[in-house]
Amino acid sequence: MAYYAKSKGQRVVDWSVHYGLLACYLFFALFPLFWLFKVAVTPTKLLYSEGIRMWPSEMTWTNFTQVMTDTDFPQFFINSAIVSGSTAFISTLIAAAAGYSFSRFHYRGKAVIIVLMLVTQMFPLVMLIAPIFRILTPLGLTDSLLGLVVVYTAFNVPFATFLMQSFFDGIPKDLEEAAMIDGNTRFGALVKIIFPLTLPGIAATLGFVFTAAWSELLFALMLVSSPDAVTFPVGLLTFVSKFSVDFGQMMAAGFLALIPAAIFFFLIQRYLVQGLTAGAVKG
Amino acid sequence: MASIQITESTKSYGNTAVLHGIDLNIQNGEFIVLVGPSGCGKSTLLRMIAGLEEVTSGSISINERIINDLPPRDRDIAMVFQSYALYPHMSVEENISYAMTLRKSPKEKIASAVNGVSSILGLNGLLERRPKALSGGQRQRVAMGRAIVRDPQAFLFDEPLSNLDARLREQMRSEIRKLHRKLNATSIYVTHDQIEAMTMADRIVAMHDGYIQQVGTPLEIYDKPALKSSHSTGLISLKARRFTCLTLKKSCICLMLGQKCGWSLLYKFP
Ligand SMILES: Nc1ncnc2c1ncn2[C@@H]1O[C@H](COP(=O)(O)OP(=O)(O)O)[C@@H](O)[C@H]1O
Ligand SMILES: [Mg+2]
Repeated sequence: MAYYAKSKGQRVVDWSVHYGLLACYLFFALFPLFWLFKVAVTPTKLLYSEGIRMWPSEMTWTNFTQVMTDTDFPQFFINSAIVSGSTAFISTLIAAAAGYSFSRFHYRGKAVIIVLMLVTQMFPLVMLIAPIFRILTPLGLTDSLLGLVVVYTAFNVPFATFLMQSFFDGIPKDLEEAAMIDGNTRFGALVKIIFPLTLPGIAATLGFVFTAAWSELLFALMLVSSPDAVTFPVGLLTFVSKFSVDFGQMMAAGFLALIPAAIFFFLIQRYLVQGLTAGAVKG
Repeated sequence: MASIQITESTKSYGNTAVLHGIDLNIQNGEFIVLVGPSGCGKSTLLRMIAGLEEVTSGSISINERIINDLPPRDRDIAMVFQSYALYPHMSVEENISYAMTLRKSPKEKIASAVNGVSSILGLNGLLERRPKALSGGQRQRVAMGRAIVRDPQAFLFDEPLSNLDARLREQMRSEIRKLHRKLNATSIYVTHDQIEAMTMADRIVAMHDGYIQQVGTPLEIYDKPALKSSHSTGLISLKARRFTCLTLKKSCICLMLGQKCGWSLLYKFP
């Protein structure tokens, strides 16, 4: 970026606007999380009696301990982790393969496949629930984590493919051609040269699919009824009973549900940092 | 070291013919320059020799052996790309030694080869760096190093200097020629710059619209430009720019008469 000499006053103004806007955004994005945590640590008896306060006069972890010990939430977490992890892994694998082929090869029917994949993204999911339920039942895939993985993978692969394709498009073809001349097979060039450069793309795709599956409610609610296969978004609904909502425990469970996602992003965030391809070609 | 024969080779993408019946015999150790306007099929021909594009019809052989169906890795050919195509996640040293590593050469042999190449190209202090920490000229040298370290049958260059500024380009031109004299490996060099063609080539291959129009030494091409090629490849514009070439025994000095600044020594080669 070009550097222009600026007066000190101008720089202070720039700085304030820059960080001011960031602060507004952060406040907007993080306040609900804060509120989630605040309600989770508020004792139930104070929840309605204290009115609206930024912090309760008394703090408690009982909501958390109750969620962990008295409810099925640990099981729901494990289910969610299995479903989201598998979906993320399988979808990204398929998307990487498909995206690479879209990016590098020309073949008959490619345009048709791309259009079909776009078409699948156009329907509201609600429309598809009944047919999907009808398809999965005879296969024994309702009420099972595998069924959820299949459905989530099917719905996430098209977008993930386009995402991966755009990352492959960003890597010059010359690189794998150079690697092939240097002595690699095409597959070897893909694994040794292209794959390390696509790690940010793979991380982004994994993250995208993981969060989509982690927070999916509609299919999880409709396709699963036995408690063994309930994922946590559906589990949250168990706190809503006919006569009351146990907000404290619900918020505590919600807060706990953030942790795996946070860990997941913490693990992949260093690959999300772009700029690895700089210097590959001139420019 | 190799001779290359291209026989009646054509290339089409779908129904569009890009190369029409190319015939060319390249001698062992020759420095061939393919010259012609952009889009005339120079890169395509080079990539067919490298094995990156399929040959639609006809044949390409190295040392009399037809290699049409051989994958790039089995052709023992090195290529320098216009974009350099350095591996961004590897250091200069790893970039240069990659081909040898893939061929599982012994460690000591790789190390001494890398050392040799980096001192020839002046890359000694840069071996640990990543490509993105190099200047354009340095990247170009790494790309060259990656090619020569392998001691291949033939070198292919696709406009390797077009991303450099004029001064560096001139310097690299003479270095590439020097390297060629030293290694004496068969080289095919693609450019659209007629000065580059005139000053570097043992033989020039002038191309236009997917046809070879003329093959000859720089002096032959200069003296008797084929009518069509003179128009199309712009070699005649050398005359328009008032080039004068003198032959001194086997050496030749090309002098350019600038419009205003009189005679200036443009280039010298043996
Ligand atoms: N993959 C491709 N599909 C279709 N046409 C191509 C492809 N690659 C090159 N061409 C065409 O082939 C012709 C020659 O290209 P190229 O060999 O790159 O020219 P040059 O290197 O001489 O500038 C151009 O007209 C170009 O449009
Ligand atoms: Mg070209």
